[in-house]
Amino acid sequence: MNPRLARLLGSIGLDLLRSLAIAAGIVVFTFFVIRMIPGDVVDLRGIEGSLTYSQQTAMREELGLNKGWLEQFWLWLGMILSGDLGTSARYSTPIADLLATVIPSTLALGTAALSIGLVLGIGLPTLACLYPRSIFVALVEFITIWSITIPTFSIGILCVIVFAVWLGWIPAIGNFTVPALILGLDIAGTLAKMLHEDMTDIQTADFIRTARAKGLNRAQIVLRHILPNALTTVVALIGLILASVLTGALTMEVVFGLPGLGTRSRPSRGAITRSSRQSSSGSALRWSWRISSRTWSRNSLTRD
Amino acid sequence: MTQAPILWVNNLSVTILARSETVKAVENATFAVKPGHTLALVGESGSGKTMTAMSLVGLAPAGTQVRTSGTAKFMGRDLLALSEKELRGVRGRQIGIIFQDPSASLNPLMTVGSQILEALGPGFSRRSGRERVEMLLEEVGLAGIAGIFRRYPHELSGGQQQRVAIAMALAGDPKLVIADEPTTALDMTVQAQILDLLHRVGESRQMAMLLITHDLGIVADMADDVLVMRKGQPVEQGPTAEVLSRPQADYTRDLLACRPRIDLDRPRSAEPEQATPARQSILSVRELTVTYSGRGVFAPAFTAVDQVSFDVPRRGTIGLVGESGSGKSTIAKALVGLVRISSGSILFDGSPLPDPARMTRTQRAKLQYIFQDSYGALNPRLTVEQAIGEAYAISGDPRRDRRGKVLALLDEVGLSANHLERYPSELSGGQRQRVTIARALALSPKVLICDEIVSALDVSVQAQVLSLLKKIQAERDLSIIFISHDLAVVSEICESVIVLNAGRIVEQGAVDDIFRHPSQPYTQGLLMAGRELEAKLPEFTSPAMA
Repeated sequence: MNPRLARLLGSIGLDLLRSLAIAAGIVVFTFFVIRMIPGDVVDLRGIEGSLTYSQQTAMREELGLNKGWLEQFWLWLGMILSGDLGTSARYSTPIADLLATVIPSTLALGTAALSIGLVLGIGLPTLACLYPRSIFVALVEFITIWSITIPTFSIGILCVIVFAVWLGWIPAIGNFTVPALILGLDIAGTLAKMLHEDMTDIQTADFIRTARAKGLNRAQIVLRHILPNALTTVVALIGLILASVLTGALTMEVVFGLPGLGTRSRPSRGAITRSSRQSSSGSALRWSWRISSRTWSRNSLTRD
Repeated sequence: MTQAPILWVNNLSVTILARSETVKAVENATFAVKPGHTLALVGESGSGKTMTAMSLVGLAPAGTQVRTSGTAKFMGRDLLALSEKELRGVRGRQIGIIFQDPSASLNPLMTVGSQILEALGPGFSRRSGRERVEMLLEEVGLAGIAGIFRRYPHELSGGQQQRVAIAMALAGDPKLVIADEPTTALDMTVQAQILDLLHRVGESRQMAMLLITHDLGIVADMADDVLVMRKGQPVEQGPTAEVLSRPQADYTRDLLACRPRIDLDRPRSAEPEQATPARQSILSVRELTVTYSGRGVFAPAFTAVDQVSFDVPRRGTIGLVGESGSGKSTIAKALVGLVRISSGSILFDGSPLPDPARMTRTQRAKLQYIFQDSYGALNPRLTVEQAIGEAYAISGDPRRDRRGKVLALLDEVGLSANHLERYPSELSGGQRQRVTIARALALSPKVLICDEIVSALDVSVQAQVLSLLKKIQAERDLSIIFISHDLAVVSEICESVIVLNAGRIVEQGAVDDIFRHPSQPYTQGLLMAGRELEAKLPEFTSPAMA
């Protein structure tokens, strides 16, 4: 292994560690913040009227909510580290099992959307650069404006109304293709805009003139010289996009009634439910994922 | 024996079609290049020399539309009449092209080997292509570098990068090479090596060369024939020796006359020693060390300036010379707090400056910095008045009489009220550098740091800016730290000089002593490289100068 590779791996490792540390920090922070909010899951049940006071006390004891915050934290940390995420108070099943059933479908939606986004978001500007006086330039403009102006959830609801309710082409609940397309287009717009601008810029670079001086044809110049240099920005963007894909997938799950993280962890009964353990650890983990992936992409932006 | 020219350009005119107007970039250029011969196109910026050569191969600057007229016969075909597709077959195969800035003209994300491989064109297997590239690397003197094939451009020095560019231009076995200022971006000593290489490959391959340059020394060294251009029009042409020793056109004479030379017999403009009663130093630098921490966590720290001590005399001019990477700019930046000092001390006017990065505003005003790239140093969205006025605004000067002060400064640097409302893009390079000088003078500094301020300018403009600097120095009692790689310029303006190499002082003393009797081999090498080209110029004295 040469020293350059070692240095590269070293700094990647360091970035990963930093991201992990940030994620851990967020989880710890949310744990205590949630404890500061008055009320807990037992109070909620009490308000609903399904538990007597003595039952509430018994439940607190069972869940360990009567102990001090620090003690609770150590217990909780021990559970997390041993892979035990606790039991959902609502579904009465271990949260780990719940997640295991819904995460694959969320990931499938996210991956499909990401693939559509990458193919369109990289393919269209490349074609627009290859054929500068073609329909592709207009297409790049179109999906850019599309993704900026049209929020995914509103177009999602519109699609359900039009395609499912009026036309009856897709089922109103559980369709996979349309949400994947909507999310994919959203990602493609951001990517296509960045890439198109970058590719246009790079066309005027000195080394492109050198490539022309070598007698290369347009396709060789675009694919070997312009595209790889423009992709450096996209690589930096990928971190941000990963985060938005995941949150976007959650929204789409709710709109299209797909089983997934979005439909399972979304609290439906006001702010106080957030103090339930199940949703809090779910969203804390989600947020820590978002933020650490953002730091990750920022770091990779600044490194070179 | 009369050889038929390989390239015969007749009445070439190039018009740039801009959105609002058309500009005649080249008018009626006629010239011919014989096989194995070198023709130099010489002129200052804007003379159309690059446009002339690039329009032949359809490589106008990106984003510009050009219209050409005339004929350019190359190996039986008219280049100007070829389609883009046909030209593509000519470029790289029959005509190779070398550009000015090697660091920008190589793709940063592609290895050296694959960039040269690409230039070979079709018809090579992986094996034979690789062998051919190895041969080319050998030919341009890069074969000795371990793993050169798989290196990226940023892992090479400027000279090595230019050798790669030359290998790329040679890859298709061209009959003609167009070299556009191939050594302008390089150090003196490297320049000599690259010119030598070009000369050698030209000779061994019996290749014709179209050399574009502003440097008459290079013309004398390399070219068989020369075409002098000015504002798009050919001024004079003929065999090099004849044109340079007996120039017919006034413009050629001017070009020859204002070329800076290492001339030690010239009377120094600086005042004689006894004229200054207390010639103590205004700035004393003691054991200055600057280290840059390496990029990334595991990269080692790099010492850019190592234990450097020197004094800047009051009202004196001291030159910092050395090749790129010698630490001369880093020293200057450390003085004004643009980089942090690792150790050492700086005395200004007898009292120690704190860490320059924590200097007060008044202390900062005493030391002003002028940068090489005047275009980059001026905010493109500020007019000349705003750019100069900003210095006053920062110092809290009242707004009322600001315009008057700006005008006085403009007058001092040889600009007028006409320039107040202009933006940097509407000024020439020389005018822009005058604006940055005016801006530096706004706060009445005691010390002016000039970092390669004339190296991007044409020689005639260079001479004007240098004389402006001398005038200002005399009027304002300024001390100047003058950084340059060009020994001729240093010999013209400085009294004493510090020679730097790899962050250390190699030698320091009076310009006369150092340049006449350099004691260190490094200084001798620098001087040799500077004089080598000059020596090739035939002796010429302008009637106006004599």
